[in-house]
Parts: sequence; structure tokens; C-alpha cells
Amino acid sequence: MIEAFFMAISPSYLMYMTIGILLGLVVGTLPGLTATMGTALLVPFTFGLPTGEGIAMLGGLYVCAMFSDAIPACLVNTPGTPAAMATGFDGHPMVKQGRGQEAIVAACFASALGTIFGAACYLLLAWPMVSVALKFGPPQFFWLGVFALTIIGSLAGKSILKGLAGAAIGIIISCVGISHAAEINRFTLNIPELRGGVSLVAGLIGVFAVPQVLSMILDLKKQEYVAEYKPESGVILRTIKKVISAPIHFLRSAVIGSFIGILPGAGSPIAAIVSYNEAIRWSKDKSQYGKGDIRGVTASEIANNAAAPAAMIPLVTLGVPGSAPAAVIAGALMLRGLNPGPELFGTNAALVYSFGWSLLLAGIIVFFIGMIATPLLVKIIKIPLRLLAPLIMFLAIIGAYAIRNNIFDVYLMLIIGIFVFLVRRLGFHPGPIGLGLILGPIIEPSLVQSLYISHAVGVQKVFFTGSVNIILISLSVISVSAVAISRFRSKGKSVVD
Amino acid sequence: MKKFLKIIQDSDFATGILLLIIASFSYGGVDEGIWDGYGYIDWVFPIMSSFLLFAISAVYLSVGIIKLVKGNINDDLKIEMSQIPSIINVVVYLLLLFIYLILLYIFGFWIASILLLWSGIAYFRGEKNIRSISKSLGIALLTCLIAYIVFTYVFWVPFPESRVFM
Repeated sequence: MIEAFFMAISPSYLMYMTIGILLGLVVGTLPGLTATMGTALLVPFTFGLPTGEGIAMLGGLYVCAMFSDAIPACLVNTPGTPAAMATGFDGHPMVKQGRGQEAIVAACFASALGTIFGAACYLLLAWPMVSVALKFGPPQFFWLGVFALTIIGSLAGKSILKGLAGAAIGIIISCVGISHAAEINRFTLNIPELRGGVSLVAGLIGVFAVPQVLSMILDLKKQEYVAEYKPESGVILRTIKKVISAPIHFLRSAVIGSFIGILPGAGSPIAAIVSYNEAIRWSKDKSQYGKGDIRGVTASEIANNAAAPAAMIPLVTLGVPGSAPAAVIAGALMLRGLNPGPELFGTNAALVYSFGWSLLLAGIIVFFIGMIATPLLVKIIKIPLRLLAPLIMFLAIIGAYAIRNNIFDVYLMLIIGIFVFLVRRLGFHPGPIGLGLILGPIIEPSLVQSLYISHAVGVQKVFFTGSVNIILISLSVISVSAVAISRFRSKGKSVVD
Repeated sequence: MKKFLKIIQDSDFATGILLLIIASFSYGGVDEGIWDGYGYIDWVFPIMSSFLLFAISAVYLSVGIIKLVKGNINDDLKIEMSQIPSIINVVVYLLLLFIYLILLYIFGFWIASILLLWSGIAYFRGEKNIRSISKSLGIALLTCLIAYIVFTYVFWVPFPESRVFM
């Protein structure tokens, strides 16, 4: 491991990793470009590099994209990738309160901490963590998804029923296209393009970016900028102190992120959502969440960044990638004749460990690059709304198009966006709709697989037995009950209002 | 008709009706005969979501009906006269987007995108003179150029080309 550390701090490793990080900064910041797409595009450029430097560059891009997706989420309420959805819940209100720099610094520092924690798990705890992850089958994934859905209680705004309805609408949108079991058309209205389903990225841009732009246009006469912004000295140190002063919050978010990161198929978005939900549940003062609480930003960012290095753990231990970018990195290794898995640990341990060290160092470099870039990035909110609104819409259109090079995704994005803009007037929060869109494709395949298994052994045995199932069901029940009790206590009103 | 318009200006009623429409649409989209064999597995998830929407819409409609009976219907969705100019801005911008999609099909990325950005920026600018309109055009051109370079040469995303002048 020491030899691998010296490999990772060699100038060539650091240089290529920094190039990957800078590309990741662009990929994450532009809605529509995901870490998966970025790593996939970078793979051909790594062919001319030695293997270690090549995968360090890919890892750098992945890690940085998990931070930089928070920038548009905070500044203009449009997550750069699905993993940053929960970051925007508090990040954007912080920006609106004139705390834009604090929000970005918090996201950056939290991302660095999360990455370092995830990379440390990769280096030290890979095998024990994988043994727990192996206990997760389709029913456990189903319950994990249900547990993540309980965040609706925190996101729903004034009405929990509207939150539930929003999530159901998001889930129905996610069901459009070819089904998972018998591959039949669902809700495709005989439109061939709909058979491919609604692209998650285009859908999320529609849910968050389009209503945001239309609201900006609606408010043009009332306000000139997204928010007031005056650069202050000492914000960086103050924010870092705030983040450090909550070690339990950090540890909880990092453990959740790392653990969910190693579960194949779950990935950073679900890690961020679960972590955000747990941060609220364990907090003594829940009232500020969703209104600009720095803990909301850090909970999401620590978890989604811890999940990125952790997603490499099943890749190097079992040969099973924990996330889509990890699958791309697996492909890059295989193209070089290296088979990810236990064999790679035996034959090329230095490479495996140097990759872990690279991820850890990437976290530190991301922090410094983020600190340099923050004062420049925050200036986005100084652009007048009359200019910013058309620019965001233009980027949203390109982003929705770029993900599949399909103009039909732009139409869907606009339709979803206009719909969400209109239902916001009825009191619907975009968060639960986005949540349904993200969790639908995770929960449904698990439900389908579990139902098939249940034909052989029975529904009760599949869904309601086993320690992991019982823990997840209990957590879901506790989460829902806690939200219901706190709502009734704090408001003393009916759930409709 | 006037009474109906007043009723749907109540957010509870409007929510109930909207959710009822979405739930009916999604439940109506479910194939027939799914309960024979394993066909239901493909529909369990959307059916559960539809039933949830039906239930929630029933709650909102009931609340609305109770309000109607008691005579305390709200008109919280009523559009004030002062909001009309802002709503016109949104409608004009949506029209620009619609025209953009048509132009994108006819002319491809460059002309359509420059026109969308230019018209959007110029429309929302306070002062409308030659200088401000040319400045808007400059911003539109520069933005399209940067986007083209970044997406085409860095991320290899081929932008849409004209489907008419091929």
C-alpha cells in the first residue's frame, strides 16, 4: 500500500488526475452531462497513457463531477447530475438569502470530506463492506428504495399529500416505455420515441430547470437578480468551521454514502437522498431544512461523494461495478486486458491501491480547485435574470439533447417542465416529482425481480423475512411515523393543509 | 359556467380534478387481462401509483365539496390584473420556444439557437434600441459559439442539423 501511495503522488499521476478533475468540473456543472458520459468520453484519451495514470484520470473526473454538480443545483436550482438533486433543496435557498459563497464552499468542502472517507473505505475496509453488500438482493433493493421514498415527508412542503401525489406522478413518468418483465409498451401512446422511456436527465432538467426559468421570467418585474451577493472575507474559514463542528453529522452522511455506494445499482443519487433524509430525522432543529440549512447541503454532498469511491469497492473485489461510471472504468481496465475482481487484487495490487490513493488525493485537489473557482462561479448570480433566464433555458435544451442526441428528449423536457411550472401554483414541490423519477427505475426492477422470486418461495418469505428486510422496513415505518408525528405536533392541522 | 370557473379557482378542487385526470389517464393506459398469468408484474407499479393518485384526488375533491356545501370556496388561484404582464412574458417566451423547435427542425442548431437566444434576451431587455439589440445578438452568437465548441469538440455531441436543407 505504501508503494501504491508513492505511485499516486508521482507527478504524472497528479497531472493526469488534475486534467480529469478539471474536465469533471465542466461535466458536473453543465446539466445534461453526467459523470458516466464524461468518463465514457474520456476513455479513448486514456489509451495512450499508462494504466495507473489512465484510471486515475477517469477517477478524478468522476469524483469532481460529483462535487461540481452541486454548483448549478445551488446557484440556479438545477442539479448538474441526478446526484445533486438533494443538494439544491437547501443550497438554492442559501443562495437566495445571499449566502451563495457559503453554499458552494460547504458543498466543496463536504465533497472533499466525503471523497476522502469513501476512498479510505476503499483502501482499508473493502472486503468487510462487500460481505455486507452481498446480503442485498432484489427485495432488499426494493425496501431500500421505499426507505428513500420516505424523504417525501421532508420535501413535501406544506402538504404531505401533494408530496405523495408528486412522487406518484414522477413514478408514473418513469414507467413510460418498455417494461422490465415482459418488455411490453407502457404509456407510449403509439409514439415510437416513447418506447425508450423518458431520459432521467432530461426529465430532471424538465422538473427543475424549466420551471425555474419560467419563474424567473414571471418575477422579472419584481427582482433583477437571483439574489443579492456581496463578497465577504472569511467565508471560507467560517464555513469550514461550521462543517467541522458537526462530526456526527459528517460521519453519518459518510457512512450512508459509502455503504450505499457499494450496492450495485443504487449509486450517488440514492445515497444523497437517504443521507438528506437521515440528517433531518436525527436533527434536533428540523425547521430550517429546505429553507437554507447548511447541513442539508453537506448531508447530500458528503454522501454522494463518499458513494463515488465506494462504488469502486465491488468493482475491485468482486468485478461488479457499483455505479455506471464505475462500469465505464471497469470497461477501461478490460480494454487493457485487466479483469477487475479478486484476481486483479492478487496480480496487480499496486494498481488497485494506487487507484484508491488517487481517489483520496482527488478529493483534496477538488477542494483546492473548488476554492479557487468558487469566487468566480458565484458571480453567476450577478447576471441579471433577463439574461440568465434565456441562457439557462438554452443550456437546459442542449443538456436534454446531449444525453441521447435525441431532439425528442427536448420536447419531453419542455412538456414536463411546463407541467411542473403549472402544478407549482397548486402547491406541488418539484422535489417529490424528481424523487419519483429517480427512484422509479431503481424500485421497479427490484419489485419485478422480487415478485418473480416470490412465485417460487412466497411473497412473505421474499419481502418480509431476513434481517436486512426487517431493518429497512422498520426504518421506513419509523421515518414515516416521525414525519407524521412532527407535522401534527408542529401544525396541529389536517394533512391536507 | 361562471360558478364552475369559480370552483376551479379553489386550489383543493383544482388539485383533486388534476390528480383525477392523471390517475384516470394512467389507469386507463393499463393493458387488459393483466391478471391472467404473470402479466400483472409489469403493471403493479403504475397501478399502485394510480390508486394512490385516485385516493389523494378523492381527499381533495371531498375537501372541495365540503367547502362548496359550507359556501366557503376559496379563489386562491384567481389571477390578479397586476399579474397579467408577467404571465404574458411567460406565454411569449413559451411561444419563442415553440418557434425554436420548428426552426431547429428546418434550419438546424445554429440559426435556430442564435434566434432563440437573441429574441429571448432582446425581448426581456428594458431598453430596446439598436445598441441593445446588437449587444443581445453579440451575446447570442458568443454563447452559441462556446456551446458549439465545448459540446462538439470536447464532448463529441453532434448538434442537430437541418432536416429540410440537407
